[in-house]
Amino acid sequence: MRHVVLALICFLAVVLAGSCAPLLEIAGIPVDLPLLILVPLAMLERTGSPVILAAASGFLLDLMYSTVMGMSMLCYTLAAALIFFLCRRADRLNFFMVFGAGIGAYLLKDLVMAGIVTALGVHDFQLVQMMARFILPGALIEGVLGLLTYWLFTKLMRCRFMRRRRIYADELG
Amino acid sequence: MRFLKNKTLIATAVIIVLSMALISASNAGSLLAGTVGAAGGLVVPLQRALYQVSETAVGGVSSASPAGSAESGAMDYEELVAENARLRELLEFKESTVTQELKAAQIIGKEPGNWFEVFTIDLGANDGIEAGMPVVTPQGLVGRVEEVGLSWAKVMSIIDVRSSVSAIMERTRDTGVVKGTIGSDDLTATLSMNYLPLDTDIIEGDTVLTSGYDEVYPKGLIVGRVTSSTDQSGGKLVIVEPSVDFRRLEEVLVVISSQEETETAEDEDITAETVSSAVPGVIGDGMRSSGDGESASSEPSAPTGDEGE
Repeated sequence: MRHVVLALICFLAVVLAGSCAPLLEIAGIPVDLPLLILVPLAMLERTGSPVILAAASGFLLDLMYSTVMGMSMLCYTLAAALIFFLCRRADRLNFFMVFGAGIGAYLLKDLVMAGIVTALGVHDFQLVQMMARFILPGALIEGVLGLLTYWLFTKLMRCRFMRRRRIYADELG
Repeated sequence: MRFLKNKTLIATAVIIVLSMALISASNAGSLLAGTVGAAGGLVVPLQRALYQVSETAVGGVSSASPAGSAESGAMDYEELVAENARLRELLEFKESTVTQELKAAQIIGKEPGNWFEVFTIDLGANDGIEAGMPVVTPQGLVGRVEEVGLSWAKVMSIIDVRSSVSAIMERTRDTGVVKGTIGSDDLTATLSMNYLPLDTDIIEGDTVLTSGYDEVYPKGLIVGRVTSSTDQSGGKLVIVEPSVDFRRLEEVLVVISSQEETETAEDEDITAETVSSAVPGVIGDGMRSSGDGESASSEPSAPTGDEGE
């Protein structure tokens, strides 16, 4: 049940990212909905499922909206994997870690995308201006909104149907 | 070899390799990427439904409270009036365009992110859409169809950084290439026109049109207006503001076939003497014959084959 719910949330985030998020962008900067879901997931989950979900979300995003297959898949996987491996060893997650994870994941995603765009033969873009205009403000928005989604996920993970089977078994005695 | 026991690490590595292979396959335009892309059609019905739901949700936030029901009704009415006006404008444009066969499409999704400007429309191969077809609005050129599924198609906008359009200045008739730019000073996406001669006379507000030389876009479609011009080593760099507001794009028209294409096909059977007539174009400055490469002169021209003798 836990994995079904998480997969459904990611699926919904991907669909809304293309069809609804353009209407909800903040000051012309699009909010990355799938990343908002994947970052707290990667921080809270102790299994590797966030990485798989990130890859699946990215693949679906490419399939539905992009003309460069594999681009979002690679970026989301890298971002989720980085957050997952960094947070796995942390005993406790504080405010700054959650905020920083949102910013870091967004920065990593967009810098990898810049690399891919360059690899595709597009060289005439101004990365510094892109950073100033879109990437850094976008990362900040992601960090702030990430705090909210992290809080929501901590609440969701406490729900009975979201607990791992082993914990269920322990509770049932 | 401890990392081999870490399943997550292995899965991550496999996914990275897979996605990189997909990117290179997609860039090379291989069949694999096309097949994978075609599978995207499986989710189109859901995508369309969710788009409509999200449109309704965004438009009807105020209806959540009972007190806001009257206000919500007024908003719905305004939304309907605006949609009606947009559709009427599209219809008038479609009817006034005698040189092109157009098909109206609705946008059902846009690529999120900062790097590419691609959107999905609700027409596909079943509706006669093919890759490479130009997409327009009454305001001007939007882009071209990049990928086609059975009931959907992905359109690359002219403001996409990978896009280039052969263009001509309406006033001076100088030709150049219009490219999409990212990371501009302006928050709104702009276009740049390159490869213009250094001695060209550019005035702010000059209109830029498609030249038709690239054989992708029909000649005479409005691309945008000049906002600034600077001298560079390779020629002038002209910044062009697109005539289409890409942030508020909801419906578009796909050019299924244009008079130029029809004439080209017909001219193969007729002699090369047949010159394209000054058929009222999209913007009224006539069209060039694409069959033999001759440009339409200012002299009265002979009628085309299908218009009688």
